[in-house]
Amino acid sequence: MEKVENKEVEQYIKNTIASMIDSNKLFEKVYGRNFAKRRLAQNLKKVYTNEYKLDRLGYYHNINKSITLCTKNKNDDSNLTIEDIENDNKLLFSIIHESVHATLKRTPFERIKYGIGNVSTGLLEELSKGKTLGRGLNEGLTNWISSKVSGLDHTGYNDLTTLFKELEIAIGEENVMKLGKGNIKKNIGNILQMQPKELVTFLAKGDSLFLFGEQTWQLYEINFVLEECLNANLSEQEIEEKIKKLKADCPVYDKQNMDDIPTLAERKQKIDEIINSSEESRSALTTDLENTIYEKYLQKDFERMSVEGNISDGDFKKFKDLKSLIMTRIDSSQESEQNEQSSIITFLKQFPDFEKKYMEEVSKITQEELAKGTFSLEKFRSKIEALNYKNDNMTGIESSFLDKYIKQVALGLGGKNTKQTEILLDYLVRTNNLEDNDISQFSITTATYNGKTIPIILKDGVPVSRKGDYFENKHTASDKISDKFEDEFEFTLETDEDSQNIIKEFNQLVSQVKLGCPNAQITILDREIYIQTDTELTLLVIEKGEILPTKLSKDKPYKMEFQEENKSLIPVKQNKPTRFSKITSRLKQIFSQKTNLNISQIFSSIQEQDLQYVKNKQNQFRENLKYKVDFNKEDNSYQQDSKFIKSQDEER
Amino acid sequence: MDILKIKEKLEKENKGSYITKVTLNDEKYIQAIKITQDNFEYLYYKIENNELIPIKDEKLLNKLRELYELKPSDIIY
Repeated sequence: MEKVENKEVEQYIKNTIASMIDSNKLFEKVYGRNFAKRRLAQNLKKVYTNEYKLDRLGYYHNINKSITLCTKNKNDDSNLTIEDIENDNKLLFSIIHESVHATLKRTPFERIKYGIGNVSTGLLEELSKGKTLGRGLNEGLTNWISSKVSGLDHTGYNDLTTLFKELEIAIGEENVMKLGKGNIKKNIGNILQMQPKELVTFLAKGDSLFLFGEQTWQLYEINFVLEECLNANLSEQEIEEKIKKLKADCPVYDKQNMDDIPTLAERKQKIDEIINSSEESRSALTTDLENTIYEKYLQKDFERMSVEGNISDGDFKKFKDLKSLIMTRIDSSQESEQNEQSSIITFLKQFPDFEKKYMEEVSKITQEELAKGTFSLEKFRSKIEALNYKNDNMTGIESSFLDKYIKQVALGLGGKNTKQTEILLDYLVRTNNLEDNDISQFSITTATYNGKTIPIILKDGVPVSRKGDYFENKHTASDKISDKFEDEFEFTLETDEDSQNIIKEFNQLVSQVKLGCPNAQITILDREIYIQTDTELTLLVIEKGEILPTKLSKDKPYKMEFQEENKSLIPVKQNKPTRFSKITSRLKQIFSQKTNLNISQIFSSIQEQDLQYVKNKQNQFRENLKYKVDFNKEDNSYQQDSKFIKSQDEER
Repeated sequence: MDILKIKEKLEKENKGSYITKVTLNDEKYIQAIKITQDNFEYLYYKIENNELIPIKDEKLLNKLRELYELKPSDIIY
């Protein structure tokens, strides 16, 4: 399909996308209010969609002031819609990316002031006829801005975008955002603290990286077509047509003088060599640019802290993030002439000792603060954030340290609840639930069966998964079960005999529960079945092909809270507050609220609170008496077959 | 000659700043950049006997420029 003008998408960009960009606080701070809306009104005259292209999602035409969105589907003859865009993150990101190009296009006034040509936007400037600079890094910057304003992961230009994430660590996000204002001859050098020679070299390397990237697609396409011509039993005419099309699609073919090579096999061999050489150059350029960023902005501090210590949480996080970014690209097993001399490779080698030093400091400072009673939730959170350990990419040392650190904090909080504190803290850390509000929602209780005790984590009183894979609930609905029970629960889809028996027992169990209590909620978490009726919670565990009953603890679930005044992290005492402490606590609350109540009102409100407290306690006591599901209404077949009922009967 | 030595030699001999290695017709060249009055130019060298020999052949230079230098483009991606 030919590209078509698309007014609907044009309006979408000028309204929705412009608002998205303008509502980003950092963008607004640097560029001013409604900047994108104003600039897009000037710099975007048309939007086209449905252009067929294999290697692009979209592009901005600087002179025509148009955005074109592309499709890889040659036979797609339906116009692109807003719904299509919003259902496809890659396409949406591409539109935002092109919109940022249009937004940051230099105005005529700016072009005169900076002494640059019309093909100038963001960091890209036309410095004289036939010469541009900054195109490569401009793509990285545009991707970085697009991710910031949309919250989406970037698409394409991976190496260039990563450089900007590293630059963000080095000079801060505000300075990076300012780079979009351009002016290579003056402003950019100031922001990056580079003299002209250093700056031009830096930007030129970015351009080379971009150019190699653009050629890579072509090289691989040439390789693919030559392979096809060699192996697919094509006629001479067919081969000729394929090569003709290849030359049109991939200008690099002629630029590398491929036709001068007599045979297809030799051409294929040459392209393989060029690809290897190109990949090597790309890697070397990226390392070179990363080295520049590290050496210029970060190396001095890193080396100083590695020796002197005194590493703040913020500093550690910065270098840990840098390490993670570098590792997205570098294969530690690669040895190359460039890498051996590379400062970022030296950084990676030195990082484990830096991390060890930080960990030692963290333990020491935490111990001191726990002893003084000044250890707070905020400090704990700051350290966990700095460490930024994720379950799926922790090293052995990191995992071991995290375990020890959590134990240390739990022990330091003291009391008979050390183990519970440790389990709860571990869960909160690994599931990223350390915010003030989050912590107060979670509590822990226990259940026993067959001589074992298992912890149960509750969120607002409801059990949550506590198994290793916190971030991924691998349960999928079984069709048979979900059809029958209207998707009220999930179950692991497994086919072994034990699991099939469990599913059978489970079906029967659910039938019985529903007969007795139609509103019961049944949830399976990992290997535990929770049955929540109107009045009670029952837990059954699945083990070795059996469903086993458990005894839930009668104690009130343990909760971690902190004092409001100084946010010290302390466990809630299990002892009930006395009436006296309740009254004084209420007095404190009232006087701290600066109320206008008179004395008699204050006392009557205290008495009311007190009475209510006693009533609540009485109700809770009555509720806690029962823990088992009432199976009086079960039928005979279930009683005969179910191991569960047999266990229950034995208990009774 | 390793990259560090190439960089040092370029700076010492005022032959520009090192950008990257490029390939054409099975030959490898060094691409460097030099700032001129308010502008810049790309320069190309071949390594022979540990010396950096500037490329002066216009035909070869044009081929290298065509392959390894970005030109202003109306379209940006």
